[in-house]
Amino acid sequence: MMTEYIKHNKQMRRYLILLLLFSVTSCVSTRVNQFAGFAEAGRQYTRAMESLTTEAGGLAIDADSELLLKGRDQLSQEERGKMYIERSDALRELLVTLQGIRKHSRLLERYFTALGALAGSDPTAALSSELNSVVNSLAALHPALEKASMGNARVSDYMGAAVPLVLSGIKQQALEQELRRNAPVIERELELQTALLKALSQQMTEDLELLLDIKDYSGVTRPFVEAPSLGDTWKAKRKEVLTGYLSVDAVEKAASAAESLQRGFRDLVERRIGIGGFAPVFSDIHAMLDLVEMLRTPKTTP
Amino acid sequence: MAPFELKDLTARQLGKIRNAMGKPAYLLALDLLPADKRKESALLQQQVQLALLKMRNAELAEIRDQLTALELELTAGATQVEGVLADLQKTEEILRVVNGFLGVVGRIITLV
Repeated sequence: MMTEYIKHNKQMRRYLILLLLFSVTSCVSTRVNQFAGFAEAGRQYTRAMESLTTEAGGLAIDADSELLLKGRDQLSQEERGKMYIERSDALRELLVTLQGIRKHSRLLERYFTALGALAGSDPTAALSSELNSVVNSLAALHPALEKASMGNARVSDYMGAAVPLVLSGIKQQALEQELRRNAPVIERELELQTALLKALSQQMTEDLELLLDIKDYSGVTRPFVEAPSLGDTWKAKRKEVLTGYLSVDAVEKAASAAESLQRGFRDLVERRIGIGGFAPVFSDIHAMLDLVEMLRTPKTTP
Repeated sequence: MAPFELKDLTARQLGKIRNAMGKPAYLLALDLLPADKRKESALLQQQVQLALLKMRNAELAEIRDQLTALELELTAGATQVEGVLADLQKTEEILRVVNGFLGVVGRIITLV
């Protein structure tokens, strides 16, 4: 009787150990997957931000060109020359800032990729060096971007206060060390991205609205009021302009992607990721990509 | 108001003016005015766009003193702009108010 009890107990203990091992392994692999998932979100965000900043620059130039052409006849040659140079200089400054934003988001992408690799494998010298190099480059780029003006306010005016991070559920020593050292820095860099995207979206909204209004007046409203007869394309143009205003709302939706990524990073580090994982982050990134697509789609009517 | 808020307010108003002057309702009403008024509007819109671009790019540290010194004129001008843009048919009144506001902005940043 006694021997049977001992035998049964031993078996139970073996099961318990196996169960414990399984749950630890499963916990670790879930964590590894979370870091990999976030690295993927970072990659997609960077791709979206690259496209969006390119479109934003294009919109600013298009809006300015439309206005230059509209007022050209009313300016003397001397005024034209002065106005053109001043306006081109101002746009060049904006393009430099946009280039800085692209560089900044690429660095963040590199960081999250390296972090994902560190979570999924043993630390290597190459990984540590990559993480350090990225953090140093971000620190070098940060002041200029924070000082930059876009939209109508300085980027730093959009930045909130730092929120302390509480590391949780990090088993791997190298990963824990890395996050202790740099997670607060990265959180601030994501706050900078949030501020940049907010400022950028404000400017994009203004430029987009102006371009649509100009198109509306010259292609739809004015012909309707003044032209003796309207061409076949008038109805299509009207539909295109009116539906085009939807992209103005889309800018607002896209503007929250950086904030989602920042929240996602906090949740990742503090192990507060819900059942949906990073779905809200991906959804906002897709809104950014949809907007880019909307802005890029060639218009059917001349 | 803090200088950064004044800069924000000024740039926002310039953006609103620029866009209002591109709205079909404003342009249709402008078409009914004599040629000299249409020319004045076109020139003003060019200046507003330049002012907007320059104000967006301006370093706060460089214009802080001017913004502070002109706080009253800027806030009063912004309120007037806000009021006058509510009715885009009142083109002549818009031109008058925008001219005044741009005059104040021109004391902060250099315009052509």
